[in-house]
Amino acid sequence: MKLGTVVSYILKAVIVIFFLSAIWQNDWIIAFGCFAGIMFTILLPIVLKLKFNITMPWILDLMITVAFFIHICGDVLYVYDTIPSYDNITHFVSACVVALVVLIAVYILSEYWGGLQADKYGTAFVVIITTMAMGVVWEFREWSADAIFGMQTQLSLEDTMTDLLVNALGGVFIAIVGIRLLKNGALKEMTQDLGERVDTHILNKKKP
Amino acid sequence: MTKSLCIIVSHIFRLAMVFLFVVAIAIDNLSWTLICLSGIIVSAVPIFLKRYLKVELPDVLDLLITLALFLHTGAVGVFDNIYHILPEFDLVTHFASSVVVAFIALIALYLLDEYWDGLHINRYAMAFAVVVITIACGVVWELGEWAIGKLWGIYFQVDLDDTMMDLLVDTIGATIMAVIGIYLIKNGTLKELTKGLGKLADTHLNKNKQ
Repeated sequence: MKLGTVVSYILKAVIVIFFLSAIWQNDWIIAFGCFAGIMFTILLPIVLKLKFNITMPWILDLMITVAFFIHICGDVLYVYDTIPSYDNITHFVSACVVALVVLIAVYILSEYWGGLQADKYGTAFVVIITTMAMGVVWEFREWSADAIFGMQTQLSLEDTMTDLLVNALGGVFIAIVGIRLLKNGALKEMTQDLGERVDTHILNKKKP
Repeated sequence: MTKSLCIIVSHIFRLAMVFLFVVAIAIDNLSWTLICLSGIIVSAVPIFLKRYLKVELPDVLDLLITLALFLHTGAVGVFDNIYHILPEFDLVTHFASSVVVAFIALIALYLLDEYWDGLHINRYAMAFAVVVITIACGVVWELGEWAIGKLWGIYFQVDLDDTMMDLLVDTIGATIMAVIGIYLIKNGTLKELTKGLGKLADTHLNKNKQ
């Protein structure tokens, strides 16, 4: 078993422990966060495996788990309050997750779909710009939530600009990693299962 | 619009910028004068490209560039100094520039798709790419304004709402251009518009093969 997979399992176990302890302490906000984490990091891969026979690429699974883990840790251990820049770390990791999803999506489309063929630098470029655009969409969501429901998710211009910057950096980071993964064929190996599923079930469904 | 009309209108915008440049000097507004000057210089770039480097930009693009520059340089001064409604007008300039950026992205992607082996992209994926590229450029722009504020204390960003509105207008401009782009590719107008550029791209991108 890969080291990444082992780490991912340990982090998932910790999230479950946090969930149980939050229920024990009647801390429903943290319990809800942990519950969302369990849904995405444990149930989602199981459903994908059983229902669609898709194995999630291990690196994506690990990144999603890490993203939820550090976010939940921030709440449970009050890190958000003690370390002011902790928010930037969670944003960075989330941006990496989005970038990784884009990387895998563009790669699979490029390999199996007739409508897109991009070389590795083109893919890296798309990863960066799409991640940046998703960051903007996220800020729009926060902005409209504040405007419509009177919430306070966007603290200030400073905060929002830092979010967008960190988001772009996450995109750049994964793009650089992505070029490496594309060069040494690791991405092909990781996404083989997923790619074939997508190919047979979605892209070429109509063809015999 | 016919070919010659685009050229004529873009020359009118250039002249208007020169006129506002004179106005800016007359009312002794240094920053507006410099802004107008930079607008005039940048608007001359397509003419120089055509004359000395034989790069023929599509006439519509030429028009859009001069229009955006006119709004950004000359007209900004009018609305700032005479009507005092700069923040509202700023949205119009943002919209115009995002349309220009989206159009440039569209042309670049189209040319790469047509003449380069490294990229094959169908028109809907192209429209998506145009939108995300333009949004990303908007982010780079805002980050640039933010950085200038941090480094030199010149603050372009009014407040959070203003910045979010800028980004929203960028997104809307990009989406409109992407939809138009799909249409232009479908009926072959884009191919015709980029004929001059296409030849150039072909010789440069496929240099190694010949």
